[in-house]
Amino acid sequence: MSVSRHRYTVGVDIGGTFTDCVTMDSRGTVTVGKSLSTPDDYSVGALNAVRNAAESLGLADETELLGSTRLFFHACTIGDNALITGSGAVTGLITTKGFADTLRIMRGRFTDGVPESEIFHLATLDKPAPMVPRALIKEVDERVDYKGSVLVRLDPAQVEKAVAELESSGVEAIAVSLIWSVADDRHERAIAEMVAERYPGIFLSLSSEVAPYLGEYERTATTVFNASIGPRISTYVKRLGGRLRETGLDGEPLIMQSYGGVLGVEATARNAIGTIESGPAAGVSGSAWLGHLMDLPDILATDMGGTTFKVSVIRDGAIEMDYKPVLLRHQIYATKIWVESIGAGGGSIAWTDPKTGLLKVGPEGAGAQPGPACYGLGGAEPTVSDADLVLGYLNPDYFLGGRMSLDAEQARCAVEQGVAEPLGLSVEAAAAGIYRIINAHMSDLIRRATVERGYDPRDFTLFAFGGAGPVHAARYAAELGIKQVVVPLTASVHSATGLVSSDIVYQYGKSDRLLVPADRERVNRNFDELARRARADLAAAGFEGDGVRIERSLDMRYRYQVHELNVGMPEGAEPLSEQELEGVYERFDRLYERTYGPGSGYREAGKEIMNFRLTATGMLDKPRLQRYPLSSGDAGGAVTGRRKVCFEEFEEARETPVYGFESLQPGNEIAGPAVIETPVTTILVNPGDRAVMDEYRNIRLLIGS
Amino acid sequence: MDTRIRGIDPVTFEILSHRLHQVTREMGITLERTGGTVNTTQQRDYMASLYRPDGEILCAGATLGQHVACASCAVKSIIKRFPPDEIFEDDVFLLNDPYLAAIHQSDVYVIAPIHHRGRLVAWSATFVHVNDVGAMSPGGDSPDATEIFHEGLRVPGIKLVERGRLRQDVFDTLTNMTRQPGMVGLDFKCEIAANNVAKARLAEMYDHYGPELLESVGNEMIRYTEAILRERIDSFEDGEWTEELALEAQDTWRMKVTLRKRGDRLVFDFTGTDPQAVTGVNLPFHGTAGFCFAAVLTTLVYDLPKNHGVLRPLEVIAPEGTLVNVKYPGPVSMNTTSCGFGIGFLASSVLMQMLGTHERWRDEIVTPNASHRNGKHSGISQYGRYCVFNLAHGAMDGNGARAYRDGIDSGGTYMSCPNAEWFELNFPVLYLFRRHAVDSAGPGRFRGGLAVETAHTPHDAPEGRLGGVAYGVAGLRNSGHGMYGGYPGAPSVIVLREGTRVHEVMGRDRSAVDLDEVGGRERVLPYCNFEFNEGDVLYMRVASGGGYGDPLTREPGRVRADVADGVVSEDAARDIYGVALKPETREVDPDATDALRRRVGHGNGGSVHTRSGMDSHPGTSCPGCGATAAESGPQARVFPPTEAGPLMGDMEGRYLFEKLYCSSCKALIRADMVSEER
Repeated sequence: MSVSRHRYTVGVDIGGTFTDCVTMDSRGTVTVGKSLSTPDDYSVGALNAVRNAAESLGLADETELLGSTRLFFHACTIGDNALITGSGAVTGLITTKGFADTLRIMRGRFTDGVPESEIFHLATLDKPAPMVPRALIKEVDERVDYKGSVLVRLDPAQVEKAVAELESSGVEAIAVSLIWSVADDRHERAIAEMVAERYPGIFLSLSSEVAPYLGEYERTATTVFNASIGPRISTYVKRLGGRLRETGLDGEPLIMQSYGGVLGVEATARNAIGTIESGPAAGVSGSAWLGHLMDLPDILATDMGGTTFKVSVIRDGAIEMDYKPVLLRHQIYATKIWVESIGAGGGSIAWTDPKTGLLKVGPEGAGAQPGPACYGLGGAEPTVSDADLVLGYLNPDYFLGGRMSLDAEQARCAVEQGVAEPLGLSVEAAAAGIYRIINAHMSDLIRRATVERGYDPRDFTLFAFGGAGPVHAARYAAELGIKQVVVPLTASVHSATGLVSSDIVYQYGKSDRLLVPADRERVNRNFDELARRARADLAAAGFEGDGVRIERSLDMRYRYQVHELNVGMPEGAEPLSEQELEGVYERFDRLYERTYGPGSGYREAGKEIMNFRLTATGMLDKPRLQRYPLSSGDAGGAVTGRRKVCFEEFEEARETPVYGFESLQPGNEIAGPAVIETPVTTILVNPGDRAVMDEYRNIRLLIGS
Repeated sequence: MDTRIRGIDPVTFEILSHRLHQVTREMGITLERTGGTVNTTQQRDYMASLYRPDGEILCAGATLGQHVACASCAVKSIIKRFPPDEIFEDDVFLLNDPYLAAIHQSDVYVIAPIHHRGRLVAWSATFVHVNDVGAMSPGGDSPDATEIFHEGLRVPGIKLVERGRLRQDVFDTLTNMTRQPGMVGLDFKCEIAANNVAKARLAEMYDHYGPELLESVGNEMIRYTEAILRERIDSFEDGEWTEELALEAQDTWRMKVTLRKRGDRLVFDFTGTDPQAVTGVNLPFHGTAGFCFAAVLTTLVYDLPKNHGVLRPLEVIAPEGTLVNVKYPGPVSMNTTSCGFGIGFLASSVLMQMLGTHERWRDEIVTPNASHRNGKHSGISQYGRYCVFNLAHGAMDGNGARAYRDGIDSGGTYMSCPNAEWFELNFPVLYLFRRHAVDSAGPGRFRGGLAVETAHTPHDAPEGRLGGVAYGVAGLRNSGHGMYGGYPGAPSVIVLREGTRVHEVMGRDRSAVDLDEVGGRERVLPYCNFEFNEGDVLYMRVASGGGYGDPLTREPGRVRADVADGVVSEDAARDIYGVALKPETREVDPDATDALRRRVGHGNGGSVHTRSGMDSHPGTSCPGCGATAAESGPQARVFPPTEAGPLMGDMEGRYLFEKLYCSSCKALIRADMVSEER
């Protein structure tokens, strides 16, 4: 890379409390800036974090840093916050007459996203609150059928009336979702033209653009979510772009999408739904990038924070996607990095059932306030963090690098009263029980993420993120037979790190159900149409020729099924030959049996193609990560002390060496049992395991070696 | 009995019971992803569970408790039929005989032994409702069948897979006897796949933890569920509660249950139920017991591990030769959604009455619902192929009201229904509307959930027509029932409108959402096969939830919100809820509301009924002053059915709406439809 004026790549990730900034220079040196998030105007916090990073780099201010920035990446939670707090735009919906209740009926399916323990409690279960009040849903006479034939023509007068009523009710955004707009979108377009003409200030979201897939409920839900966050997202990204430009950035911010690529300001404004959960998505794409550098193609990216444990799968370098994710208990059609999650974290509460004498952990958590008992903020119920402290895994005087101290007495007291006494156990045994149960829950979730999809967890390397992750990771990994756990150097800012390694990625798709053997011309025509749009968008963003990668895939299933499998195709956009198409069908059969088990496939049922998908990538130069020379294996110099730690292998707590992460040298090896303390987390090295610091200063735990 | 876990450390117990539960969950997901029929892929009309070597339930999956219990019979039946030395590792069995274990032939059980080091340590079993079984009517439910031999293939136990090898000859023989071998093949395959999942996961657990530990975990799970359930039952005062339900179609069939609670046991006694029918609505005994088991699971056991321990404190009495214990070779093909759901309703109703007597359990009440009315079509699709399809409307029933909240609107008896677009893509029909039915929810302080109403017409059917089958809980009381003064929900109906103007209306560029405008000759369908011709419209309204508490005590603001949402009409707001809205603002008029409520409430109106309706509900006590029936000497007043809501018109001439008031405090004790004959 030439040493130009533009020597930094910058990533800014806005979280609930903190805004992280990561900069990487041309040698791959990572510098971190942090600032409080500023909910009134998040762009203020973003620039504060940039300034903080600039200071660490010894630069004058944010203007100097931005003036020497090559690419600026960004992930924001504005859409997530608006949805969670119900503070999105006032949104109206226009739909086909007879189908106004589609969103409320939800196909009768409403337990997605509800914890398993609550699904069977019929006395308390409810549907989520309506996304759009009934008064803001307007029906218009019109009807298209499955072939795209118009059966009832759209009546412009009715549209006019509906829009006028919505406008006078004060809507800021209008979602339009008509039955079978995926077969013919002319009525949706006609409505859009009328709205744009009469009320140019209203944000518009068309189902045929946002989610052009079959299924009116999911398509409508996606379109409404997009409409309700659209005004905010578009205002925000435009304002941020302006402010960055004023402050010296040459170019526009690139905004992270939930599928792990970035888009420019205009494209983001149109597809606001893409920003949902984009911060965590950046983290997973960062894991894929690190895995690529480290030559680890198969990764389980796990994240254990205060309340939630999440796992995503990277297989053969590619991140597993979810095409029908659940958002706030609604199924939507938006491509998103696939995440399995459960309520398990440092704050998960342990409790006993006095009747049965059983010990349970979670899914309820103590939250940030009061938090675990050991935080000393008034929490009295024992949590996983309290157990970790009792067991000696955490250092009460060096939590979060000493930024917070923990109250060991409170932790003991909570575990004793909440678990040990009712079960007649010692405090240590009770804490060990909490620790084992939460680990088992997490390994059960990883099993769900791998084994259930036909993967063998033993083929994967596990990445452990989140404050609580590295305390537990070696145990939940061992339970699954996983051999290596990596705690990346950048674990504390992994979302921001993921940002700087991103590409520009556009996603396209459409539903067109074709029975197999499909008409090849039509298959190629569908892909061509998507590819044309992709090339135009990429060209507008400045990508052509070698810098462009196009990947196509098909959602397929056996006839009459409803769940599809996504089958990849040869890279590129060349028309498919008959032979290649045959190959795709065979790959479906193989993928089906791999996913659901040998003998599950049934070719006699016939197959069908449901959806065409195309991903277009504009490849950006990837930053390098600094590599350090490896020194000798002896880590003795990094020992900062010893303390009593409980391991299930030993009857009693035993004196265990504690290492300071900062003093460890690449190449150092540590034999378990040991504890490594970093400024952001604690890494537990269990008896029989070894820890090694690698050339990137990541800690690798080698399980059972 | 000691309710504490014994002989095993509680941490290990928790970890392993969680794992077992995860295995049944994964089996279910496998069925859902790989099944053929919409019952499996969308409705969660499936079951996946684990059993002990003797066939007792080890760990029940989350869905359809009745099949969890019946599959236990199926496992036992396989054990009986096949000598131990003929049950090999990696065998998979299939059984669907209702006279052995299944409920009707469409319910196909697939069962697999699980071995550890050559020893049989457990069984897994699944059930799915396959798309066709070669019965008289396409899709299985056969209204014209009069004996079991009309109702399709009936397998008493056969090896589908032997030592890991699919017996293709057997597989082909079975699918060959159905109208849609491709889809039924997928249904069988998904069951094999799910049992393979169980085998693989359990093998890993047995290798890791050893058979002794797993066996003691299994023993303890069952023992402690039983102990807690017994303790819970014992915490109620002894008592007796009854309920009745009539299926009304071409004939009327009455079912009756008495729940006797004695100490730590529950006895469901169906004595008094009508003799078995010549139509296939009859249940085998194990089916009846299974539905009772399921009702207990969702009430007293909702938060406990679900296993054989639940069955032990229960007894079911069902006289032979009746609707609830059919004698061979009586027909059964429509039984699950008719008498089966009827029993589900009866059992749940008496349990709810029992819960109402206990402070701790009253909050768990969900008013019972005799839900499920549905249809199937068959014929040539727009793609020129023969097809059979289930309209899957059972996923859109309104659910019962709760003690502290409204019932769930379109919450469903089953999991979910496909999109209208999915139906139209695959089958030659066009939906005219799919919406919440105004005033369908049973009124109450907390109202029931709203039902969905739909209408569809043939579209692009190459032959210009389709076949149809109407089934489910037929009758006028086939919906939610109210409790403590809550009103019943609107009945569910299937109405065929023949020779409508639907094409004409749409030809004028109007959506055909107004049935008066669509017209046609109306025919309310009983259990029957019917022809569905070009220009016909099928209107279906599923069951609604019943209300909880007197609607006159509903917070007026909630009524106003329902009116604003268009789900309660202004007439109903005024006449049933006694809520007056200001004409200009549509806000509640408090003074007019007070006056209205005084006028319509407190036992006014209607005519005094000579009969006390309390005889069928002797356990009911006044929600106002707590007086028992004997003490309060309740007064009955009767009204025409439409007093309970504008959708009750069909009941005119057959039912009266009866309100029971407490003589001492005037509170509404019960509001229900009673047969005019009585």
